[in-house]
Amino acid sequence: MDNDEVLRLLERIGQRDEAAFRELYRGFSRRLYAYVLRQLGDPAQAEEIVADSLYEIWRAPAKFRGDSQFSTWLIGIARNKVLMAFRSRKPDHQHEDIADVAETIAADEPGAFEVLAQQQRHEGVRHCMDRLSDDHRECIHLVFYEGLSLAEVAAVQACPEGTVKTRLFHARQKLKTCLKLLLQREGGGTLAGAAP
Amino acid sequence: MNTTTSRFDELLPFYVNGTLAEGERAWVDDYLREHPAARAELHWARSLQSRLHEDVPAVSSEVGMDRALARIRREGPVPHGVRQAAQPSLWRRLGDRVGAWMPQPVLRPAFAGAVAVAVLQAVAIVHLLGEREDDVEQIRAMQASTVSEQGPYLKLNFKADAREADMRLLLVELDGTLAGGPGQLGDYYVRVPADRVAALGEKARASGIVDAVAVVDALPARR
Repeated sequence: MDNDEVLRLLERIGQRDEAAFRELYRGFSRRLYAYVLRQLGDPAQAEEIVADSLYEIWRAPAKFRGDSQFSTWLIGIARNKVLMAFRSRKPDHQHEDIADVAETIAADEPGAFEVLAQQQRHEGVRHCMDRLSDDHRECIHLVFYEGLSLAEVAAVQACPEGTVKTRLFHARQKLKTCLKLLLQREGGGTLAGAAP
Repeated sequence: MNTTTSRFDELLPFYVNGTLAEGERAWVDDYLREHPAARAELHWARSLQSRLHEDVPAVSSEVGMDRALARIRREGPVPHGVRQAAQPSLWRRLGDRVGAWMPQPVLRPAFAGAVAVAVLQAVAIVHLLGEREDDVEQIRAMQASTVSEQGPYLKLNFKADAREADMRLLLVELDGTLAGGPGQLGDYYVRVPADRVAALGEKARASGIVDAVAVVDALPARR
């Protein structure tokens, strides 16, 4: 759904048109759910935040003026709610960072990338994504799942573009390391739960 | 890592997601031609992109929609003349409204107990009134002399997500007593000291849980 279509729906929502709200909801709920679930890992909480974020659109549809992609703007709303959820979490719910693992295992072995690319499966990727810091995981999601540009990621994460570059670099290194360790743990073969 | 490699590393994620400007994309294409080993990194990044798309659970596009619609209906009536989607039944709307006013789950047993006590007291009073008609007249006379409906009142509309505990706290802060409401539009009438009504209205407006405040001289007529 492009921005023009979104703006038409928002105008109808401004007139309290519930059918327009439903259409907008269906158009963006899945992507938003993917983002929130990736950040929080809790399906019930993700559903709640998706509903609350889109409810904000119903309350004030005129706040979106079309200066950015609507999906990016919507992620910004959900992000604030995710950050609130992070603050209310107990320490044992926090994601474990893998900063303590050397970051160069994968990079310094010839052919390591090919092995990882061929053998990594989404279960392994999920396992390793969960072990990234919140900022790093979000950065990877925004770039590789949402397809946002460098400037858009910087806007969502409210940081300079250089910080995004740094986060992306370290996040990718950590992912490679984690996936490599998983492969080694599985005897150099496939990831847990994955087909060869 | 030299400068060229570093630049390739920075641009690669955005090369993969297709958001690079034309010039940068051409630069990465040239780099990949000159450094065949770098294609493995490109392959890995594309693989990561695919895996991330696979890893999202297949949920309905209406995930959470019921919750959002329930909040919308708690907001109040839709303005007259605006096209509406199918409305929920009266019972469902009533249920949503009651649900919104219920206290936190941990307090619900206490809330239910308080309601039960109030109902029992009401039954006992009605019973006594029926038995002693003379006393009824006295009670009516007493009500007339002790309960004043003299204003001014603050007419408050609370936000949809305002909690009952916060509303009670605001009443205390306003030194007010609830005189009426909620009406069909969610209006609450709060009696406050007449000499401070303007200041207390401002205080209510700044509370964060109130959508609208108005000063009125009298309660709406009872039907």
